[in-house]
Amino acid sequence: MSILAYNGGCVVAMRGKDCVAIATDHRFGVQGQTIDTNFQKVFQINPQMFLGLVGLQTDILTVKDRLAFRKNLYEVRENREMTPERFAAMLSSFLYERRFGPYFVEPVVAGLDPKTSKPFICNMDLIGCPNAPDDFVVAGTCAEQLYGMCETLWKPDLEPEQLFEVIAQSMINAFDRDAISGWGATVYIIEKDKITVKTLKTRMD
Amino acid sequence: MALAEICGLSDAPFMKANSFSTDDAGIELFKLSGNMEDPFSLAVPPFANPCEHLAELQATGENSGIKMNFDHGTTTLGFKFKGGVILAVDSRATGGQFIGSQTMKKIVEINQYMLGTLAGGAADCVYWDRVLSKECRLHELRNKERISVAAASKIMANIAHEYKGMGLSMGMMLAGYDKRGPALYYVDSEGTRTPGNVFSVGSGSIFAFGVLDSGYKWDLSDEEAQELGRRAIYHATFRDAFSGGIVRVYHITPQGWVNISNQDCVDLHYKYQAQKEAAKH
Amino acid sequence: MFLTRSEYDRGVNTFSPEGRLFQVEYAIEAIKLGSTAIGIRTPGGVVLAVEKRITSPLMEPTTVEKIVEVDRHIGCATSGLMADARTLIDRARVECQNHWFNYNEPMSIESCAQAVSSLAIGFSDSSDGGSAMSRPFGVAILFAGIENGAPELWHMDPSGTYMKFLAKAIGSGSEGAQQNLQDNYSPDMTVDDAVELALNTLKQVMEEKLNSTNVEVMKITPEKLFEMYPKTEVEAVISKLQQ
Repeated sequence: MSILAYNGGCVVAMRGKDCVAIATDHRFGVQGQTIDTNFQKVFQINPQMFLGLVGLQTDILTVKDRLAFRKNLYEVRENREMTPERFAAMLSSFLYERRFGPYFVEPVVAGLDPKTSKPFICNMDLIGCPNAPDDFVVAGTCAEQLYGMCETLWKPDLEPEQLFEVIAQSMINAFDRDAISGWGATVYIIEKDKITVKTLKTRMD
Repeated sequence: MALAEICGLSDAPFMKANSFSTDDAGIELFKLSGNMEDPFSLAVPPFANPCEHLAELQATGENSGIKMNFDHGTTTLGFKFKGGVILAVDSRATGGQFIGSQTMKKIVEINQYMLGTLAGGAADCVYWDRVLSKECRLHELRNKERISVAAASKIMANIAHEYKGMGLSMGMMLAGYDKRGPALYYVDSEGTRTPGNVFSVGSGSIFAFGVLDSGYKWDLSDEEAQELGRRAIYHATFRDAFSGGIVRVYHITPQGWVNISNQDCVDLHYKYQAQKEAAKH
Repeated sequence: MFLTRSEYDRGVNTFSPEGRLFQVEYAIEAIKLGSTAIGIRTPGGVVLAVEKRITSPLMEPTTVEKIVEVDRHIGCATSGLMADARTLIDRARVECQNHWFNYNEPMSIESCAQAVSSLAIGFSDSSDGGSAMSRPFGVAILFAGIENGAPELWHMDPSGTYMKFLAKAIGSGSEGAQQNLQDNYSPDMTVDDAVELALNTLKQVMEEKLNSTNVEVMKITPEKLFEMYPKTEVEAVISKLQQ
């Protein structure tokens, strides 16, 4: 079993029309044993930017904290808010620094540019090879299932409500076919002037 | 103060801060911001003798599942001819048999006159090409002259040599036009660096070479050369499962590089098929 | 100014009882021996113009470099000790490239000035090493740049203080030049107006007669970023001034 699948979990992010969505499951387990059903892998970095991390739980927490440090350093030095693009560039070189002893995490970044409100999504491998497509990105132990669902349901220019439906259905149906993801899910819809957080009721087995 | 120093007073222990000095703050900051100051300094793996033990870890990793190779299938090619240099690449990124991306950019625009191709570990190539771009730009500012492709490829080869044996995986071509004319170099993570007229790198390179070698001559016209590159990559995407997506063709002339075309393999396939059918009748 | 001078000007890290750092003040004085440099910010771009002192007819004028490119969107004019200036400029270039590397965006002009400033104040005469210099750097710098499409002009002195200006003169003729800039600056100038004003100001404060070999002119605009003025264009502006 890969160390990336030790704790289980998944994250998906999608682009819509002038909005983005990111969703996470709630499970934290140790191999087959579920320890906690309220471990959310998505963190709010800025008012309109979220970071999702899947992989080894201890590294998720470390990476989250160290990135917060670097992001704060940038923001106090530059005296302006960090955009998702800059954050992704920084995250990439942060991960590559540990090229020979990596953090076992796969990140997903989703957000809107604070000035232009341009949607941005991006994911990376554990040593920081960035990939920023204009449809959706997935990560986690059920990445294959997520790809299948997203590839089928996603369409360009979805409105926020439609985007919520698409991302929620993709997430639930994908992790229902994965033994070590699930146990609840949270969806964040990020729009120019509001963030909607919705918790999904899912199978708990 | 000067007097105090002559007397050696500042060396007295009571004048030294021992709990926390501004130096400590600097060290702390460096620990937390690592390669932000110097992109060349990566963290060593968390065990002794990294160079030796990393190889062992990778060998055992094959069995234990803690794998640390990030190889990707690829086809890239480059050749010099009388009209400059042609680079052509596919755009598929794979992890095993899984297709991670069909739209990867495997040609990196280092500056207006120099391009690099990626093959091997995606993160390795992307990161070190970025380092190279930065070094080339600094060279240009400091010396008021664009860096030669020879010098740029040497920087890359030095990086490869520095991390040799630690598992970097890169096979790249650097192509450009400098004061010595068109230039094409092959550099890889083993430390190889060699100039040449025709190269192809990646899992699909054997197929690309087949097309390339049969059609290559120095006196190709610009259009012929571009089409040769495109065709060679197309045939590689057809035969090699780990290559595919979009065929990108770049041409480097004395005026800098031009992106000639980015065509989907599907379109190319049916275009070539139609041509073949038409030729039969 | 220096009548109250006492032994407190010997060490660079000792304040005088009046709260002054004499060595830093002396370094600021050193700028006033340097050649004059002028920066003018207009809505359409920033102009830098500097005097080059050609001390001997046997000297090659093009090797005197007072205006340099730091990155495509930042140009610098320096006055003071040229050897010190080189160190600071190189830091500025490296910091700009590092910023691009880490964040994939051009560095802001203020951050660039801040980075140079932290090197400029990293002096100390103690022997424990680690400091950049044993004395303050004897250079003042004008940073001209484009940030998010808007032109900016910053000035940094040897104390490491940096501030934003609309128009600023440094170097030996700075007092007269600054006064002239104040009288003639208008917020709606064009870049060409600014070049004329800069050269006109230089003409008034330079000892030698203004010509195309003893000045350097640069403009930085949102469209074309860093551009040196070719000699012929400088000549054209000078002949226009003489009419």
